[in-house]
Amino acid sequence: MANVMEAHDLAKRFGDLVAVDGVGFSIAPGETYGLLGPNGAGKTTTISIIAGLLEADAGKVEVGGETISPSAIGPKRRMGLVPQDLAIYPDLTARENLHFFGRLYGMDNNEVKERSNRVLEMIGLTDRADDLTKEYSGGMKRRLNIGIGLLHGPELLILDEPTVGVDPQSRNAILEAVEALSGEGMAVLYTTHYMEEAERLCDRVGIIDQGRIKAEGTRRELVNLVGQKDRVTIAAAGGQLQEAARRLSGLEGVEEAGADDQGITLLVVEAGRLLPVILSELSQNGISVSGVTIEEPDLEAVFLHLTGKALRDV
Amino acid sequence: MRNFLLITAKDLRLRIRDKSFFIIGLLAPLALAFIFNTVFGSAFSDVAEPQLGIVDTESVDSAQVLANIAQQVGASWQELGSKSEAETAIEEGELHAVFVVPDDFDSGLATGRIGTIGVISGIDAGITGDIAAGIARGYAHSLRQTQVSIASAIAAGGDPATVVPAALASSGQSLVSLGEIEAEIRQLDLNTQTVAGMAMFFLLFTAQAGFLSLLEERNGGTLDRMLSTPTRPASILGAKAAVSVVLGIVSLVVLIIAGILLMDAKWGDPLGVALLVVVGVLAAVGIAAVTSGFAKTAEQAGNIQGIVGTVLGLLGGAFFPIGQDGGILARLTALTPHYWFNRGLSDLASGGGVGAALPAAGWLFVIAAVTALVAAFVIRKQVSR
Repeated sequence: MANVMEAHDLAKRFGDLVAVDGVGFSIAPGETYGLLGPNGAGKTTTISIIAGLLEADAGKVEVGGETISPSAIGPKRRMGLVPQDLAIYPDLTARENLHFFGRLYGMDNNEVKERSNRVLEMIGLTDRADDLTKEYSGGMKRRLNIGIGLLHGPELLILDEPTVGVDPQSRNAILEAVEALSGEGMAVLYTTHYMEEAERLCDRVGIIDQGRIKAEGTRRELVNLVGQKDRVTIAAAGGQLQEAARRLSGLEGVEEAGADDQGITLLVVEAGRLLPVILSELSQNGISVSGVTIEEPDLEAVFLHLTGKALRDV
Repeated sequence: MRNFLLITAKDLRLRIRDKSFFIIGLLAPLALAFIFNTVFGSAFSDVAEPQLGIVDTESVDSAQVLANIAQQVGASWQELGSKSEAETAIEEGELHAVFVVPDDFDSGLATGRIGTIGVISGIDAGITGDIAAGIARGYAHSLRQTQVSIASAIAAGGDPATVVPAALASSGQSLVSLGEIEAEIRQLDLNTQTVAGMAMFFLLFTAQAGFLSLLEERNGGTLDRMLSTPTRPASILGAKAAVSVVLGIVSLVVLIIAGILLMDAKWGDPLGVALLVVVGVLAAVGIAAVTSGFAKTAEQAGNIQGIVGTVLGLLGGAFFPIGQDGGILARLTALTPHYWFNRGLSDLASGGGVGAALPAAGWLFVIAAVTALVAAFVIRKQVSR
């Protein structure tokens, strides 16, 4: 299936500052692509170019096969933008906000009303739909901010750090909404500097720093790229644990193995694939397993490896 | 066009909902006009019927011209036997001001000499003293103009024997054309001038409403959101200007009607007033667009507009007449929309139809066109990143 969005070699400078430097990636229908990077990495500039708010110095973006630019009207109908700032009118109600932006996207009155009701239900604001949004809590405003972006049913939804400053409950609601939209076939471009969100939501992640995409792929691909291994901790009793560990270290994909009185600890490539083999080996050696914990390397570690700095430090 | 209308409608709804339009566009100018009228009303109360006089003089032509002008401005007129009699009448409050025309004033004109017309007024004469002085100055100014044209004709080789009588004949019995003097003293009554001045002063702030919202939206993120929709930047800018125009027109129309109902203001020909309102608003919107184009935030734009609006208001005579005696102030005054708006209204108030307002309307349109041209360059950056 053709990609919903393709960005090629995007570049943007602000004076001497290189904000975006050769960024390129694509997003397929139903795919959630995450741009993971610290503040100032170039995420918002990249998104601004893709959303047609900013002219790139070089490169091009195609949405639905049409090239986008600040003056392009057609491809903007295919996109919905959820800016990092709360882009809503405080002196309008939620319904009025939705109605205004829906009409700007070319929807007629009836269509806007119908879609607004669905979106209000989806973001949990039906009961407060006719209250002025200045009376809303921060989380409610965030949800409306997202609702406006997806009102017209875009092929590509762009979310720029939508959970910044959001309480845990609203944050979870937002993440669930994004998962649901992706499940319905909407392509999602999601920027964040929260590693947990990227891991939870994104099918593929681009690690961006200093305006460049340092690496891109699924979480597994990124982890493999930097040589990170899964840690498998097996709580076990009986038999010769040291001997079992030695045997396990001979299996393909097991990098390290050690044992103590509590059990065995292994460093492996793709724990999920190897685990049945490991458990079978232990069983054959008369070792009774009482618990297994798998710790997969996270994107934080990948980011640290690629950039030399931790996400939370920058 | 559709999105232009949607944005315009949304902005108008917001401005009405947040009540800023009512405060700046309607309440403040009306309140200030009331305050001005109340505070200065007593000082100006004699304007409705100035009581003027003249000391008996042998310069009967000039005395007649001054009497005619006094009649034109609705003043009562009295002849007094001597200067001391005049001073007594003023001290006792019977008269506001008295003209003293030397006996040889008229005869001196024929020889190319202009004498001095004196004006005696009481310390508490208020604006009536100024009116009397203005009449005398206007008369003297017209005499000088006639004198210069005669001198020019003679210098160009004309025969004084024929040039002077011709000039006298062309200017009527006296040496002065009465029409020229009327033009010098043409003005609005106090109430109308106060309301008009306040209306134009606050119009510059009302006219900024659309552009302030543009800056607020730019900093608040909703502008980006609008730009991410299939909406052309020109539609957004156009909508912001339209909001300013609509609010400006509503503000002026309401104030004009309120002025009639509450302060007995007299505006003149409705069509002419409507023309001045439209071009006056366009000029104000043009100025607001330029000042907003240089600002980074709505607050900064408001501050810049506050300075520009106050300076233009002062120069343009929104609070009190200024720069009427020629010179650089008069030239600067003519650069303000306030001046031309008042000038147009004055022309209408003197009984002219819509045609009488055309010169002032033309200059207001020039101000609107020039500022719009400048704004087209400076404000575009507000809808781009």
